[in-house]
Amino acid sequence: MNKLTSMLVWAFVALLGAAAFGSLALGRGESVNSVWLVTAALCVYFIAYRFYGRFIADKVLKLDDSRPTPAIRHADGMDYVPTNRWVLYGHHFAAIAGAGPLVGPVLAAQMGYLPGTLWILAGVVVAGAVQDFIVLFISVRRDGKSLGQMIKMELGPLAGSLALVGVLAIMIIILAVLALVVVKALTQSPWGVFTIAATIPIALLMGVYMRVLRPGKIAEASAIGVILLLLSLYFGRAVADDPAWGPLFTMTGPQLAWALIIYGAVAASLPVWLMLAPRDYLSTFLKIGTVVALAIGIYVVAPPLAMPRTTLFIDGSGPVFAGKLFPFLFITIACGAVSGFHSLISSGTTPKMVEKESHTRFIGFGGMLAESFVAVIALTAACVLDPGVYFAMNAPAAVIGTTAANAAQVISQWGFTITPEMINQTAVDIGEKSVLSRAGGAPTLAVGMAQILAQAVGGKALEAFWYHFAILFEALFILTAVDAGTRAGRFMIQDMLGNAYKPLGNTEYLPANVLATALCVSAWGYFLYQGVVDPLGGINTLWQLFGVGNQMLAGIALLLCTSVLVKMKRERYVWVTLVPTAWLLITTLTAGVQKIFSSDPKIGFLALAQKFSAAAADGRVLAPAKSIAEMQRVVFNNYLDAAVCSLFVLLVVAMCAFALKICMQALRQAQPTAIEIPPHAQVHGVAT
Amino acid sequence: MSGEAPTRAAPGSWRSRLQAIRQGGRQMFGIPDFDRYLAHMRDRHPGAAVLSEREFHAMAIDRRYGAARPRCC
Repeated sequence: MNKLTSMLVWAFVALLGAAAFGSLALGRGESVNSVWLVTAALCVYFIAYRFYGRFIADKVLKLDDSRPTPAIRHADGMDYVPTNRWVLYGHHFAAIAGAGPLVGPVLAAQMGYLPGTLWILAGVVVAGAVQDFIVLFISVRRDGKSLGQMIKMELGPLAGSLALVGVLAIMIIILAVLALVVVKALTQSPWGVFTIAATIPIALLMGVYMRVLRPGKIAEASAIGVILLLLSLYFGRAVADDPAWGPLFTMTGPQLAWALIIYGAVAASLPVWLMLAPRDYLSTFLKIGTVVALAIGIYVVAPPLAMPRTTLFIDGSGPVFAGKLFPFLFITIACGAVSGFHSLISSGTTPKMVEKESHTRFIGFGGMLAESFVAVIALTAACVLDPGVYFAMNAPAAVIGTTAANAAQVISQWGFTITPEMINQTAVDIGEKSVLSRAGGAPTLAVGMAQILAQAVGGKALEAFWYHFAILFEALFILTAVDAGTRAGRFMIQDMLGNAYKPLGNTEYLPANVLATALCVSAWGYFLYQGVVDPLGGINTLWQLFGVGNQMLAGIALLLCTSVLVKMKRERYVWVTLVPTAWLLITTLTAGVQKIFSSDPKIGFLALAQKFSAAAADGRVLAPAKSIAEMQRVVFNNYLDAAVCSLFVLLVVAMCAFALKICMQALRQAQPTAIEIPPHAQVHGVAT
Repeated sequence: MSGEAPTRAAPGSWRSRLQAIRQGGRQMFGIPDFDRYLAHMRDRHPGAAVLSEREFHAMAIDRRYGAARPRCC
């Protein structure tokens, strides 16, 4: 592009972004249109990609297209395939995008729309996109090695093993919290349960179609799958209203928890082609389709933001999650700003398909910007809802009670005026019996989406349909994650057990498989079940535990990136990874230590355990527990949560020590010491 | 059907564009392209045994989902 045109275009983007931010932050009193929020985000992404992304590519990493990538070196026409960058962008985005960016921002909306928006945007540019990009780059330069292997290579074997323990712990927590989101969304919702249950036979049918009838015909199988899904969604309402079938699909929280635990164990034991793969295709279609539809919907409908810029809850007294803006906002919004899990994807299948090094900016940095955009959309959908409805859906029953009248009274006292009729009407509009205390993000987002999409297509008549469509779309990829995550957890557990007793590490050995699957499912199943029966809602504890773990994993990945930069002798630019590393360590260590040691029982695990244990010793029963046995369970669970949290804190402190030692060593060297594939490495396979 | 040379459309034609779109779409979902695999085997390993389309897709799915492949949040 002509230099002048380019300057004009970028000046326009910058001005548009500034104007959008101005409306968000400065508008006095009157409500702000959500279009400004989305526009501000898009401008930030374009500018960050063009300038900061390019700076990292050209100056910091010095991407070199003359180096053969793993896809070229190991080309096998199957796993290692040089791939068009747009195609790989789609592949990478589908792999990183999950429920995380949908849940965190919705919970964080209790502090108002501005704090969440600012952290999503600042976080993605400074930390999230940088992490995804640089991890992808260093994996491409190391033959597509995984994060664990790279930590072992660059920071030593002990660091590598510790990182794997951390990854397994985070995986267990995330499986529990994702399953909990599904339970919260489907409790007493026969329509939802029916459509989700229907995805199982549909996936099986697709699996058989693609394996036996028409191998590899993914478009045909997915088209059949989508049509059947829409039919089940349509008939779900009739099933729910049916006097015989309705009660069969009406389930309580604990029943759903058991159903999910059994589902996880069975699904993870089936052959991958039968259920996991077809379900993954379906959810990828729905995921991309829904996000695009919602983004267009926001521009078409242009709903005003009903949530205030900031609420009184930034002081830490919020009902959705306890704790002040610093540090808890930064661990609640995990995936849309920065997510440690992405470092596993960026060192998974993606680096094996990169055609040229220069593509990593678009795929790594750009892919994360798209993920962040999903988070912004989710935040917007939660903030266009009436704040009264938002709090009715997200505050636990222990705070707002179990009737619409009680909830309306409590929430109105906080300054968000709402009537019991409004709460009940919301439930009727979406075809549910109650919307109270459906924490976990998914239902809130679904109501927000339903209201936006119904205004664009179909009006009130279709709102219930859109709501259940949104629940279906979220539950579908959460169930895929439960299946895939249980499998991944099983392999990791087998890997570890194999060190203790060799036969247990054999993935072909059935008893070892069963044992490892059982261990993995019972670990996350335990946290899930406790979350479901916890009268405080469960989400507020588990999500924060996940947030701490996920951001710590990001910290570990960025420590690796920092060490690699130093070992490459690029210490001049080390701030690119050191600044986000420092920020993540500060926020997560503060949050982790507060979660363990805070004397406020609403925040500190130990304080709550001690409070309940002291009362139980006196024979007193504290609400919301109903018996001494329940009290003792609260005590035990809080000690357990404190132990998990301590594990994360200790891990990240240990990784800091490893990275520091390696960096000091590398600084004393005159030559680069990073262990890369040499620039003119032989391309395999050509000579054979 | 195994081992036949894939039919390749002339570059720039509508058919080749359609093929590229289909290939891209499949790759986005993590399904490797069978024709590409055949071409690879013909160029790099002439004479070696080649998987049938059915075997190829079965193996691709097992490889993609079978290993410890962590999923994102």
